[in-house]
Amino acid sequence: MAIIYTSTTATSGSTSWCPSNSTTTTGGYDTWNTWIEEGTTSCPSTNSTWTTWVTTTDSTTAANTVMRPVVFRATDYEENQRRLEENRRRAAEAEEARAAAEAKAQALLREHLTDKQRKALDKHGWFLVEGGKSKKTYQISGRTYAGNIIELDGRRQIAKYCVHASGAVPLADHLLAQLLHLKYDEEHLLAKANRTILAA
Amino acid sequence: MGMMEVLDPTGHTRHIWDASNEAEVSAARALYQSLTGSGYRAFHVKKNGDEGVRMDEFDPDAEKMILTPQLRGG
Repeated sequence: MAIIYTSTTATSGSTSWCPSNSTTTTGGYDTWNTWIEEGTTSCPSTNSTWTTWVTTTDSTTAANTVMRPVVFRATDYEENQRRLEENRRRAAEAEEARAAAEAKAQALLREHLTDKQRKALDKHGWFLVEGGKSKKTYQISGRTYAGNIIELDGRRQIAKYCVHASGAVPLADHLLAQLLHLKYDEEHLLAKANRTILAA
Repeated sequence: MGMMEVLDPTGHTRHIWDASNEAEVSAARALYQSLTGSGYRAFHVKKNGDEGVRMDEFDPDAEKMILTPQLRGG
């Protein structure tokens, strides 16, 4: 049950807020009624109500708990801007380092591909490798880290192998590691890889 | 001159040594053993996809080696 306050203008001309005879049907004081009642038991004038609301230090009042103003400080804004700029700079540097590492790894990979493999990588995004021991043909896709080795029988896809170099190496280094293992350490790669059968 | 390319997040780091310089060979061998001991695999390679071989022992006279991080199933 909340008290309803109404403004009353005295003959002297001053305006006061006093409880009316009627009440609301909702429970408890609403913010407005609490606001104008705060700090006085009598009918406050509009001026004193405003002053009370602004200057009160009671943390339980509506003014402090519901309507407490946020103090804007220029230093907060400047600090946030500085942090934002710092984060942008770090992200740009990380991206630059990542791109440089990828370019360096690409150069090393291409150095160890045959002409035919380089052309296939440029044209199709994959290259073929002959297994050093089994002499099977494997297709290494140059676009992804995971599940990128396909065992072929002619054009038929026999199985897919998922195996990757540990550590955060660039994609081209990852491809080079797969290439070297298939050529010179095929059994080790096959023992480590997860194999998915694609065709019987 | 021996050369070891170690694949890493920077896109690989190159280490070179003079095979006639005992101190440099010793440092290269120590690095090789440290990396292979932590799971790296070493390959003796030649450029342009020519024949290579997986290495079990450090060879100071190897023209070029590539050390790759160990493989893991995905």
